[in-house]
Amino acid sequence: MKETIKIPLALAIVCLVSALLLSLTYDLTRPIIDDTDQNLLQDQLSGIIKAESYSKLSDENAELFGKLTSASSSPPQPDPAQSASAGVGSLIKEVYLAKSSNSIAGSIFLLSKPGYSGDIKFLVGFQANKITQVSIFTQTETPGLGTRIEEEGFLSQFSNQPFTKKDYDTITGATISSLAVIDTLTETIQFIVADLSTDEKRKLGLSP
Amino acid sequence: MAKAWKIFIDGIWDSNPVLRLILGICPTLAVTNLAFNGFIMGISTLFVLLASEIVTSIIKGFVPKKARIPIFIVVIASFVTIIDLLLHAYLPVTHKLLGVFVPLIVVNCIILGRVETFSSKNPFLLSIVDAIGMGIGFTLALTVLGSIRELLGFGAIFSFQVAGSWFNPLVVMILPAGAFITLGMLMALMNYLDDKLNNKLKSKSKAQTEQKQVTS
Repeated sequence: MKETIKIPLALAIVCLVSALLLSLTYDLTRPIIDDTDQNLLQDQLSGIIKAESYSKLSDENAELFGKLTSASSSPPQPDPAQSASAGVGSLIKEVYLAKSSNSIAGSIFLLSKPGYSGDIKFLVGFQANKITQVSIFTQTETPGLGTRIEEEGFLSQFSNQPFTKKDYDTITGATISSLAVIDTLTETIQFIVADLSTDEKRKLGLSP
Repeated sequence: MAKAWKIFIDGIWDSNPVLRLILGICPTLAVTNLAFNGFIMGISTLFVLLASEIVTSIIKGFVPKKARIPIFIVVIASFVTIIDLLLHAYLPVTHKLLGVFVPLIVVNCIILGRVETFSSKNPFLLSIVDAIGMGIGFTLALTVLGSIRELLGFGAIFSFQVAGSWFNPLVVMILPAGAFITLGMLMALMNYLDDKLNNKLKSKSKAQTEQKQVTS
């Protein structure tokens, strides 16, 4: 067979077989993966605020969710371009309402901020006017240094803290990673305390 | 059989992919700041290497020489993706542990290197032996490297705290510079040991031939 035919033919066959195997594996695993991810999320949410059910604020109250995610930083930045893009709203990726016996017990915010390498996504629970707990959702920080934000020693300092507390400890050797969590947390709390109405706070399970 | 054994040992010592062939250095330096990470990366690479060498050894007759590199890479990348998907579905905890390491395996030069130099030119069974030998050699190098870096950088090994509070950790060991230094030292040590071993073998065979001359 001529080379000009053999080479593209061989490539085409290999790519075809590969695509077939990959799509088969994907179809087989996608439902299982989605299920597993859902379960992992549920487990993590119940670890932050124990409740009967969790629902997304984007489903329940799209208007409030829209207001949260489009918020700009308070205090306003001197550079307007920075204010628009660095808005606290861009840090809020999802809000879960923790419900027990049909009343809202609290809300769990999924916050995201660029860390040392890639985004750090973490969950924080708010109840009354306190932080219940913080747990890291996804991160791709430096193993052994930035990944220490997942340690009990770092995360436990947030548990059961009032909204008024502003000074938290960073991790030595992982300043950027730990500040990504701390700054995002304090900025979100500041926004909630200052910019939300009493009614909106109640809708999130917070005290006015 | 003897040939198979030679190929196996070759992958662990004489042609150790990290310390002798100097292949796959990027993931080596990146994941060896903890002994456990190095170990897991080694094992994962072993599986991909095995699968890739098996497949390429089987299809070697049908692959035109001029199209072999893209074909090999498609094979390797497909295996890594399939393994990643299967891990995510059936071993989610392990998958989360490995995280970003698995996609890194695609760019590990060892896989393409062995496929190109060995499995595309050798029979099926020998390719399996080569993959296992190289995979174990890689895993050993990474685990040792990771253990040294974790010991000196954290005072622990496999997350088991060994050094007490008196220990002042060498932070450089956890960073890339420390990785390079440790790798270089390990290579030097290996060369030294290899030399000593060779001299011992040489003097042993020299004594044997002298003995034969005396007795003959």
